[in-house]
Amino acid sequence: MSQENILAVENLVMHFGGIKALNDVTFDIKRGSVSALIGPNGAGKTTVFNCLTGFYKATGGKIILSAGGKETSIIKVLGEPFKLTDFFSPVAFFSRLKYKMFGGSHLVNRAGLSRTFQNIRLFKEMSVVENLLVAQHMRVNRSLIAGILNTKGYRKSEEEALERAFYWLGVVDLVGSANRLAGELSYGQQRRLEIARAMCTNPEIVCLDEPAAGLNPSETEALTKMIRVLRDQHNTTVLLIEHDMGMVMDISDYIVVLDHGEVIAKGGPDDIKNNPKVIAAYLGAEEGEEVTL
Amino acid sequence: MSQSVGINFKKSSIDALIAGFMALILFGPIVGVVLDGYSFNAEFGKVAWMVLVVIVGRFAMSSFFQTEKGIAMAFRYANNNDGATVLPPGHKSKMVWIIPLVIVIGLLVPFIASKYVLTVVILGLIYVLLGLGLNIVVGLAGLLDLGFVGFYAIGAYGLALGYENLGLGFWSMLPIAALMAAIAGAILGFPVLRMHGDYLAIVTLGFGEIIRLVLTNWASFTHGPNGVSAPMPTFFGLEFTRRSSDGGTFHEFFNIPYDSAYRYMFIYIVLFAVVWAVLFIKHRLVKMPIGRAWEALREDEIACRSLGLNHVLVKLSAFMLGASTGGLAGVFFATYQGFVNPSSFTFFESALILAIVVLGGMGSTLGVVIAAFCLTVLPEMLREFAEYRVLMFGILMVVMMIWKPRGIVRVTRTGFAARKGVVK
Repeated sequence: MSQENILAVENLVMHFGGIKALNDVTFDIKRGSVSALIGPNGAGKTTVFNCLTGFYKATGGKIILSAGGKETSIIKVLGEPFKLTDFFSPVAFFSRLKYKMFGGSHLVNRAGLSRTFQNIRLFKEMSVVENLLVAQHMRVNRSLIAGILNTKGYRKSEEEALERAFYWLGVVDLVGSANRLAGELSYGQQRRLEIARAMCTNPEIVCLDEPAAGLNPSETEALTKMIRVLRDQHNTTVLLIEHDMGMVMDISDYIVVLDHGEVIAKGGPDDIKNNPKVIAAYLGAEEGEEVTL
Repeated sequence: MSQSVGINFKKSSIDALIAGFMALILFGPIVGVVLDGYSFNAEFGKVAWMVLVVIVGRFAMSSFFQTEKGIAMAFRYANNNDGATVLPPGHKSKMVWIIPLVIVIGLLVPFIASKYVLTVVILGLIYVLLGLGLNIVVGLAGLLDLGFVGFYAIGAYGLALGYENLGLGFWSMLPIAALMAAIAGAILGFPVLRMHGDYLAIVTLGFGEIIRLVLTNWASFTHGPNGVSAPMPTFFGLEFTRRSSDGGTFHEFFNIPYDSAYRYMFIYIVLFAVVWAVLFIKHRLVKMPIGRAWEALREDEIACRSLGLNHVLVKLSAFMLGASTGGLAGVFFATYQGFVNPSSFTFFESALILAIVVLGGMGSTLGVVIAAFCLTVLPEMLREFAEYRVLMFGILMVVMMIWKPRGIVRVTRTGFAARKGVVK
């Protein structure tokens, strides 16, 4: 299925108790694009990310991921509460029970969406290569018997996983650090390793949460190039949250601007740059006052 | 003040006096006051000796740490807190030479050692099994389990009750007990593994206590505190008793005089083989995807979920494999004692197994083996000190945690040679 939109978010609502973090957020992400989610601090960008990647269960709305030849409802795989109608339809009942018992954010990743984190989450006491091997857990031979007996099939599968790991280390320029502990790497290297690890799960869409935070200008430039490589050579859709406006405008095909949990603008970089609402949100403006840059 | 030359004896003396004062406060009431009927005797001599030993020891230590060698040593320990080291690719472990040597020595033990030494070594090996099992749960998967003794009890009672009710012997119960313990691990694990850290520790603590209380109170089935006798292992149907009710006995079949030590020799050899099998499987597991997933889970659960790993199933697998090893150890314990009762499965036992894992070094197989032997053989050797055993045990732990907070053996990680990257 080659639908145009890889990700469709409809009327997404997220409440934390009485606080409405997201209020009716709707946007689509085109397959093969680089899209950015921007907005002032506290606008709800990371909340949207956590809903998309299954770490928060959205209060309402729909998130449909069209990857791997099928459509996945991200809210459904996290496990929804039973409804009265379920008790009359065994199929619906067992599907819900299955997701309630075994569902969770890992199913979102298996459906073809991977992510990185704003505060880097690497396996610090494991080596760089091992970090990438863990990411390939679902693709390798996991049989206990084969592993303990070290069979031919198992060795082949491990060797393939290592080759894939070293390929991605090459892409992010970390081959020289392959056998260091992930926690020993510098900040910039850790950010790159996290992207490589997300890519090792073979996703169709990768969500990067502030990938350029804490990087110097030359590192940011290298990151921009790398994101282009992901899109052009690996047909991966990229969705990112970023505060570095220079980078966002440079790289994005499509930008969604959030403020106070609502989408205030969507469109190409040029539209966004000149949108009065966006400028007002970033610079602050009196009610009804027009601001121009 | 110069760094290397000369020892500041004034500082050493002050250190020694402070330590002596502390020792006086501590030992004064504990050692100095001995109850005698309704009154008590004050034993100043004993206290004086204790305090003197502490003062001299502290003075020597303080002086030593001011010498060049001492400074270097303190520096080394202070900087020993970093985590694992990654071995270079193609590293050849020295263990290739040590393992055959240990196996040969291990096989000679039952023929040269006395019966007493043999029973101590058997106990040590049982704790090695327990340590290896808990090491999967705590060391690798990072799940603090304070009720591990529950699985040990399931294995031990499995053998005793399986024999009493179903007539199952040692050999059939060995795999069944491992399976039973694993199932118990799954039953406990599935509902609680969504929690982590302290909460999980408390739930597992409760589980261990529940098992012990059931064993104590369900008298119609488990015979309560009176305990149950457990069968001895058989050698192809031959029993290790003086006279057999059915079938032959070992000494009659081989025409040798009866010796009660044969039974322990046999248990030792079977246990030795099982320990090596578990060591091998454990060695493979850490290099396999499942082992990597456990360690990744210990490092960061949220990142694991974002990579498509089902954290509940990964935790459950660690819990079940750890529990089954505990069950195996339980079977050996029951057959070695010939009798089980609930008082063998108290919380102290869980704490001891946890101490083995922590002292040995979380996740380190070699460290766990060494620590298991230290913590079981040492108390036996300290029998003469009787009531001071637990005190010495405590001192050992405090010293270890100060000098080697990451355990006896540091964890090493396999290095991988660079490959040509291919993406498929």
